Amino acid sequence: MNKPCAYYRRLISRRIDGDLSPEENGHLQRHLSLCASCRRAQANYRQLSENLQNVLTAAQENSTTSRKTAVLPRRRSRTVRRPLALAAAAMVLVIGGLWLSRFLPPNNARPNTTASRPSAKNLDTSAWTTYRYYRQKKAPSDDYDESLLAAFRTYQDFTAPADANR
Amino acid sequence: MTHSLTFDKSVLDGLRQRDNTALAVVVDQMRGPLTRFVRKLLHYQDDALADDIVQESFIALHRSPNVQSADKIHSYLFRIAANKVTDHWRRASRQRRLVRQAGQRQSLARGEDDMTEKTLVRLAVEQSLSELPAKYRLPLLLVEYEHYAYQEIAELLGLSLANVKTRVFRAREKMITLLKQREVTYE
Repeated sequence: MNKPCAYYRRLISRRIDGDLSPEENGHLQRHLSLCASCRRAQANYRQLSENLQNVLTAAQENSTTSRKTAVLPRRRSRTVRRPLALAAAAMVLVIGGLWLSRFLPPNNARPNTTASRPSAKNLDTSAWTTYRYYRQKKAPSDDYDESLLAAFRTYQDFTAPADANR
Repeated sequence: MTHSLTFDKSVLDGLRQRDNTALAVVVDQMRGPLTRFVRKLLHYQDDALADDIVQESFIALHRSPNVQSADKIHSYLFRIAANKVTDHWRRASRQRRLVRQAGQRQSLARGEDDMTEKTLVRLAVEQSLSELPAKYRLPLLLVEYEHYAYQEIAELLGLSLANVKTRVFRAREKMITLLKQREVTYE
């Protein structure tokens, strides 16, 4: 039975994908031996497959190349990177140490005693700063501390009316 | 190509109960194959988009795990990803056409006629592929790039076997017509 070429072209497409039964393959082979047009179609399908594979291969190569060029030049060699890393670590240690030293107490500071420590609410900022200074630097005894506090309370009383008028 | 990725029934039960551990198991196993699959379909031109599509596929699975059995989880994910790639092609088709036309004008203006024959053919194939309707493009790329059997494509895309054969055949016919229009030598 003669079938149109469109039927055989479908078979050609399926043969490229390995989907033909031996019987269908035989039919197709007989038709191809007689039909130049379908032989050309078969060649075209095969060329298309080859072209598509080339596109995929080129895309894969471009992808790999672009990744290499994007990443590799930024990386330095190990011999260059190690001294740089050590220098950076040393720098961090020095800067960190300097920064932390701000929070260390002075060498002659006494440990804080909380018994007579005034509340920040009772003293204005400048008075509290001055109190801390004297407490750390000059307070020889708790009596002295109490007298200092009393002096600052007086100072507060003295400055309060002026503050209120501002 | 056959998939060897299988999951226990407990994983499917976990997915249905929105269990994050079950989702993590699926993501661990499927992220690699799914990413390679999507990147290849996108010709490795936009790996970030491919990663987004993979992520969205997992989210879609988490939101609606409409999978009949545990051994269908992988094909369900591949189907979601393939559909998302198709959506992307459809959305981008007009934009890509405009960009391509601008690129062609620039190439002509710069007189870039020193490209090798191979490069020109490759460009023509890429352009023809982008003009091929998505419903033909995806089955063609699945057989040509992934070497899927027709039956696998039918399951993956939710089509009948006869429909897949027809789409692949028509994709080839249309591609050859488009390539002939671009003066690529075919017999």
